[in-house]
Amino acid sequence: MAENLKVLRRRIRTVAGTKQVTRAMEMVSASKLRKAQNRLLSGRPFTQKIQEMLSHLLGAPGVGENPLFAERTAGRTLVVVITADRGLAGSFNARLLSAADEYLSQLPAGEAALYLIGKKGADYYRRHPRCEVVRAITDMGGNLSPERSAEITDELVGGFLSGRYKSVHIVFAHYVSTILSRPTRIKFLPLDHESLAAELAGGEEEERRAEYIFEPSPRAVFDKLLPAYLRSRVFMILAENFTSEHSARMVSMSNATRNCEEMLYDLTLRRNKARQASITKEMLEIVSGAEALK
Amino acid sequence: MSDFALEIYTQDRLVWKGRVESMVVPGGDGYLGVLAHHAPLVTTLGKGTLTVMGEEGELRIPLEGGFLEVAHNRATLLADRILAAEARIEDK
Repeated sequence: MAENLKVLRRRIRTVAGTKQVTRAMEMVSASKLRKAQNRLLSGRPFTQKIQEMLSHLLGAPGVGENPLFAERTAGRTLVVVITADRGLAGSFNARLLSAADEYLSQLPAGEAALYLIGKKGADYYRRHPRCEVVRAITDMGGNLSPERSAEITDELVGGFLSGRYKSVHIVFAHYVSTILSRPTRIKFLPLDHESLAAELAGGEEEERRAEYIFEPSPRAVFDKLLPAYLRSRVFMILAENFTSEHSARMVSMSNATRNCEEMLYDLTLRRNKARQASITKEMLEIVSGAEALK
Repeated sequence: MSDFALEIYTQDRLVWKGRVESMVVPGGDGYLGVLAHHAPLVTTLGKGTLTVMGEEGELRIPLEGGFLEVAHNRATLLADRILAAEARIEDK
């Protein structure tokens, strides 16, 4: 007998159970992905409007200077790494962490500090200490509120303005499509005029330009808009990261389900062969037993 | 009475959208009124109650912080925080 029928049956049961689990996780991620996509979409108008207002202002007289633009040489570089709280999302976390590690290795020793959002990143840097972790947020749990992201932004901005950090960079998963997300690093602070202007350009058609009245003053509006712009940016980055996470998990779970199906097919084939073989063998034994009695 | 379009957003959602005849906004330096065909304006918002008058009645929304932009007979209000979960709509 080629294979043990009992062993094969047990394996089929195990794989079928695993398939049920991965299928369920795929469905859960799909629904979470939908929710995250909606959040990303409904967050856009606010962000766009903030950018539009900012672009009205950039040309206005007496506007442009702000401590948020300050280029400094003293201080450390704060690297914000956003990961998921949970695994089972394929290479999602690993890719983010390797992108972060790559950047950290470029920085002079002792110059970097880490700000971690997500359990996976926190666990990783506890096991592989690279530099000081100034904060690890592990209780987001997929809940994103404007208040929470504003708190995070204010902490980052505060650290920058106090001179503790000369720049702030964010590593996160840029959401391209349901099947594709890309680990991306952006320079969050200091702001610089060129990249800000580049980001704001294109949103507004020339004809809609008008002479705006700014209350209380262009300067005062500008000084308030910049932090609002940064808060909005962090919110969108977090929303993108969540969306990428769920899409990565959905894809990897759907792959796992497919693998289970393939395995089941193969195992079922082998089980049937083994069963056939054992029946044939039994019949042979009976027949030859009967022959011998003659 | 002529009206204008108003959209109210917070970072995570569209709060309200519709045509209104006038609105009173808690600006950074005190309340200000906006009617149709207002000159292009960008203002910061303070803490207070936004009052919107339209055909269906009056809408009051307490909010804190944010910005208002008015241009081309469209107003967009971005609120940092809406203070009451439910905005009351009263009939005239």
